[in-house]
Amino acid sequence: MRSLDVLDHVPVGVFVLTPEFKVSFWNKVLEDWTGIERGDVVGQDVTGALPHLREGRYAGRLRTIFEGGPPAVFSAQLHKHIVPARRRSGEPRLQHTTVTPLRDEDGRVSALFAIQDVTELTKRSRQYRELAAKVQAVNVELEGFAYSVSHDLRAPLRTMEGFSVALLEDYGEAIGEQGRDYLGRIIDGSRRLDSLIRDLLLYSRLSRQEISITNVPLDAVVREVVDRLRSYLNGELGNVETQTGLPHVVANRLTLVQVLTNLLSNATKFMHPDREPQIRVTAERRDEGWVRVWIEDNGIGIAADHQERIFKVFERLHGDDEFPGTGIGLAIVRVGMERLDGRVGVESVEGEGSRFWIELREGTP
Amino acid sequence: MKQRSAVTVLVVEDDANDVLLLKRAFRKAGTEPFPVIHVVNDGESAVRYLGGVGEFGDRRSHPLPDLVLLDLKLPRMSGHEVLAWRSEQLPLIRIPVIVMSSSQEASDIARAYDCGANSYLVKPVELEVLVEIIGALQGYWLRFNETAAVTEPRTFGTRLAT
Ligand SMILES: Nc1ncnc2c1ncn2[C@@H]1O[C@H](COP(=O)(O)OP(=O)(O)O)[C@@H](O)[C@H]1O
Ligand SMILES: [Mg+2]
Repeated sequence: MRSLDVLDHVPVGVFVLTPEFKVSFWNKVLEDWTGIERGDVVGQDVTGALPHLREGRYAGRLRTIFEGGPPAVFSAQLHKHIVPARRRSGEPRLQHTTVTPLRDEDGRVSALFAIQDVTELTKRSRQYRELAAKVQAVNVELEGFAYSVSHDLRAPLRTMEGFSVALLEDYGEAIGEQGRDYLGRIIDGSRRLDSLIRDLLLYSRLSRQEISITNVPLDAVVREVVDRLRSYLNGELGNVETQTGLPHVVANRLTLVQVLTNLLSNATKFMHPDREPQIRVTAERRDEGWVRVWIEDNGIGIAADHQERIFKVFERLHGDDEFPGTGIGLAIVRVGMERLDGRVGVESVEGEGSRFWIELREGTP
Repeated sequence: MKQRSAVTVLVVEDDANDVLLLKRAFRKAGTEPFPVIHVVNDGESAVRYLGGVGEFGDRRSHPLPDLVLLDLKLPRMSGHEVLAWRSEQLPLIRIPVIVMSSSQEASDIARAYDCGANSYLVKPVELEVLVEIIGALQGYWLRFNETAAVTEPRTFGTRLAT
């Protein structure tokens, strides 16, 4: 079988077995793996080197091969060591073996064993599975954590807020003006902590929850967000100009509503004291199927140094007295856009206004 | 509109502070009818109260409620478990149950409805908002909503036979 010599040059262990269970070929790789030289094994009965191949579970399937049947696979799970061999480190080589019928000129069928060393591959896939299990466990834990935060952290807050209000209502006269001021501060503090907890929960839920991606009509979503914000602010939304005929985008509707709500509520919040607020929502098609949505305001703007940080959790540029907030809004925008496989950014000149943008793939109507 | 004299609400809540605030909200809301409020502190007691067993055996002192306000996170037997139990109690299932929980997790909400809850409310931190919620709840569930008569399980069986 001279033609098989080419198999000395592939990184696969190869040998050939005749129907009489004699070895007729043994490649260099196998010499290397086992230390058995070709000359010592070729022409010999296989019982010497690989006695197990005579056993029932192999012999039966090999007979099918010798009769010209279909190739057989001995997977690494069940047949780890067709050719017992150790690696240099001493660990056994895990093997994935394919056996194919090989017909010579006289029509005699031999069995061609091709053996892949899958030790590394198996190790790596086991590591990957372990890692995936760990990530899964961390996720479950995070879920439990968020759950417990939403339950257990808010209960004492209700108590603080509720009884301060009750005290103010029932005994407000008696405790005097300073007392009422102190109570007011406790109430403000509890409400502030409540919005922090709520925003943090929203943030963590958005990063964990599975979302479905569909075609979303930008037109309707923008209208919905503006209307809801307007009623939430009792009409004090200022002048919001929205472009009509906005395209469809590939997104999750609720996530997109959340992202746009946060951007628009910022645009209305960070107003310039000397100007009538002016907000514009527009969209433009970009290269390769991307749609960019602009949310522009003529508010106080953001200095270039800060334009990156503001997307992190809790990063704010103002005190709560000046502009109330939790500092989580833009972090939610960033995570939301990550979940939608989109992008987000800002262009701004301090004192003049800000132009936030998000980019999504264009969808089909 | 209802023709009942005394309207009863069963509150299933383990947090004594929440119970106090809830009662205050009922008072403050000032909506008619003002209910008689019975409180139990865990899921097991809720089941015993509704089933009329043990210390709750006397229906004169522990009448079947017109409405149940159910917390989810309860000692011994959770609100979800109470709902699951109720879903198999034929006449009792007619008593509307409103879940009042701190949780806004989608899975909690979905599970509550799957187990047969009639409504789901999130406990607000602001007392003012709680008063508003209770006012709306009184108007809808205790005033306008038509409830089916709930006969005791035993008598219900006899009536079916005739
Ligand atoms: N449209 C805007 N104009 C000016 N500053 C902005 C604007 N949007 C966001 N910022 C800045 O980014 C910070 C972070 O925003 P955000 O995460 O939404 O938190 P919050 O609104 O609670 O302060 C804000 O505190 C503000 O300083
Ligand atoms: Mg914000």
